[in-house]
Amino acid sequence: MDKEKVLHVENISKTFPGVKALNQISLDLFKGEVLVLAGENGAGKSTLVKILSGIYTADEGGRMILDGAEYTPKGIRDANEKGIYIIHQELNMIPDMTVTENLLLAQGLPKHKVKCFVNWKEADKQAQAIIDELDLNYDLHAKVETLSVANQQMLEISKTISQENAKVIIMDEPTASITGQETDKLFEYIKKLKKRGVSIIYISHRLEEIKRIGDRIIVLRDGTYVGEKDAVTVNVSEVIQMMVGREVTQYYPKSEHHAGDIVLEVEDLSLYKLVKNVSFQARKGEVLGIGGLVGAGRTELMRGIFGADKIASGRILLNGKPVRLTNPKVSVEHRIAFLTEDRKRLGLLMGQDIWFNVVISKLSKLGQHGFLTEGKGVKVAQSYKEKLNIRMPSPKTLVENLSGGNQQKVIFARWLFSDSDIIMFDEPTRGIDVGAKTEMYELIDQLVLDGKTVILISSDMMELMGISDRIAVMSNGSLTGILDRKDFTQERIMELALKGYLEK
Amino acid sequence: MKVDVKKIIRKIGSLLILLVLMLCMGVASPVFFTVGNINNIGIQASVNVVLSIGMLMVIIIGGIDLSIGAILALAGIVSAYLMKAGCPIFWAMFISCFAGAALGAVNGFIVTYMKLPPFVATLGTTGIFRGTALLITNGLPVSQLPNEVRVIGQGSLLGIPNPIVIMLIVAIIIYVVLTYTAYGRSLYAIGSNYEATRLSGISVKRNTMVTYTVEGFLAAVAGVILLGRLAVAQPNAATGYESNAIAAAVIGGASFSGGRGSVVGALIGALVISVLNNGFTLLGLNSFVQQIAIGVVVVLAVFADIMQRAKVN
Repeated sequence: MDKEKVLHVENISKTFPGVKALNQISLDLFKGEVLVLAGENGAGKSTLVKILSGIYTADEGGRMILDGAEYTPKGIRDANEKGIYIIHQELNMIPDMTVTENLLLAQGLPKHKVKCFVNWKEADKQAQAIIDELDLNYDLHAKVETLSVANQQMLEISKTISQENAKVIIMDEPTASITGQETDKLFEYIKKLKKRGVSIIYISHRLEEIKRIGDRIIVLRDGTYVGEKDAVTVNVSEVIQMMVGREVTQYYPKSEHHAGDIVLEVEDLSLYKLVKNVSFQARKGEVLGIGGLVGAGRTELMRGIFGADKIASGRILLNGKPVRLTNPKVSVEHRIAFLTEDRKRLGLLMGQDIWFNVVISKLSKLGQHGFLTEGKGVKVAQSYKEKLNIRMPSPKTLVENLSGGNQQKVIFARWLFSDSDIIMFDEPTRGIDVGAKTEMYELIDQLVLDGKTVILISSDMMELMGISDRIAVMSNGSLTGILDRKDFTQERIMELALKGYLEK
Repeated sequence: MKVDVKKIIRKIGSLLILLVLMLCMGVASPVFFTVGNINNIGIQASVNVVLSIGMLMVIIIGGIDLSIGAILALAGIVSAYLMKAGCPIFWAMFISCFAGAALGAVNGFIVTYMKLPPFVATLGTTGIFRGTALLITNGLPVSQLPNEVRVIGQGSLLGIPNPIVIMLIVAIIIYVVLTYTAYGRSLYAIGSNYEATRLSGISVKRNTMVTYTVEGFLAAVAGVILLGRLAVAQPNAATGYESNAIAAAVIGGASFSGGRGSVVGALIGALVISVLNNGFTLLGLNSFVQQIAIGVVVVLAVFADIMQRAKVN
């Protein structure tokens, strides 16, 4: 490999309100190499590639040099013109348009002699040339929505790598949804790209891929550079070692919990997407943490248990009795609560008052025979204001006027009011400030002391280890292990979180 | 407390429009504030009030119902045929209300279970219901009904004309339902955020279905009032009434994105429209100008509401 530098990154930082996502990152990318970025959730990989591809602007103080020239992309288009492309995890296809139209969307369809008409023959020829590169055999006139997700992903990849002026191509989890055979095709093509002198920045959970395709590997943790290894000779445990090892910067209030009887049993649960054959038990008076990488199927599992999505097979037992939780209403009647991650879209009733947001799950508790009064609801909200220290002007304020942490407490109050016994939290501290986080941990601790069962999804490993009594780890849709508190180590959890991606 | 004051102002907003309008009309025409004329306004408003309260419920859950005029007509014809077949008048009307509910349930079914957007669903059923009404009557009015049918439209209770009595009963019942029942409150939740409401354990499908059914029932009640006033059932009755019902709900503060609106507001909105109609007639102004005036009021009322919200935020 010739050591010609394509991209030089120096002291790049990125600060979001309250979080330093990237801290003084420096790295070099050489011509024709595959550089792998590794790191756990929130390590800063995505932030870094978003800066490189012009989606985010870095903080002042750092600089980037592309092919000898100062590189400050003004946007994704500008980055593309300068030769840096990104293949996203999410699909950027327009489902109602054909394969040809999607492939030629960015560059524009070729024009007929009469300028206002499209030359469809020429368009198809160009599109065919693009998919031939990856040896794909798709009907050019099929609408993209009729293709499988894997095929759409391949189309997305072929669209990007066909760019003539590409110097750097960033691939963020390109193989997440494609088959082994297609992965082989992609890797073949990456080799061709390397020969052409194109450099690749590659992000993947699948550590065995890293060894197959990578040249160098750089590990990030908490937004900082940890170290670099040769991708060919490195072994998986070394990488894990570097990815974890975070320091505890937050105080996690946790009393000693005495777990009681088994309350919830999940047996062999599979959903129609992602989640396969998951079994676990949760006890009265414990926090069962659910760990894993983003996209491992944790939220899907919770939604399946709660009846928000249909389950394909398996069964659920509550206090030893099989139950059919076919929709959220049934689950709520069985005293199960689910605090969704996306508060705005799936949690709060934004245009409504705080008190109404608190009582919505149990309107029947406000009065008999379906009758209720606003006065009672306001009183309920007032009582939770004191219990949970919700900072609000009045229960009749619109919930949208509260801060993120206080909105989360309103939803918390909702599920306390509905007398839930099993409370499932999905990323409860995401997007709330440090003070509110600590309060949230104390509230969760109190719930458990009161004999409730808490199931908690968190992508913050320190938080997960700080407040859980046991941790069940999911990986690629399967549950790969359950650890007791005495066995918690970052390495062990990360190993389990990656396991499902190794056994492909 | 500040917020509450603003809420009151917001509620008074449409009332203010109504009062100013009435004052203007009163100044312009000496007849306007006579008992006879006030009763007239009430009677004229009654059909629209009942329709707009139903429409309000559907708008609160984030829906719309274009078929209420057609339901009104079809239910009226059912009523008229039953009377001609010798069914007692009260029973004929009673049964026709449930026929209306059944037609509303058809709308509800298409929206909740066949998952059509409400606009399209009720556009389709408008054709179906109206076409059915025309088909079974051959397009001709059903007349020569028993004389007692006029009791509903032209009689009175304790000096208050019956249409106004019915309108007030409907308004009070739906007000209580929307304010003091779990079902009624859940409609606001559904309109604010359907998915969050579902995940809170509310039967969103059942409640949506019930709402369209109630809407159909109320459209038929309006049909009964109209039948009582005209003593004839027309297959083409109430064409375009849905737009007046939407206008009334919206003038009264209902939001098309769902989650907001009140019975008092819809009542005031319907009265605004009736006062405009009545006043223009009294002043001998061109009736086409009425339509322009109603349109202007709708735009201005909603614009004022938007401005107020922008200020609050």
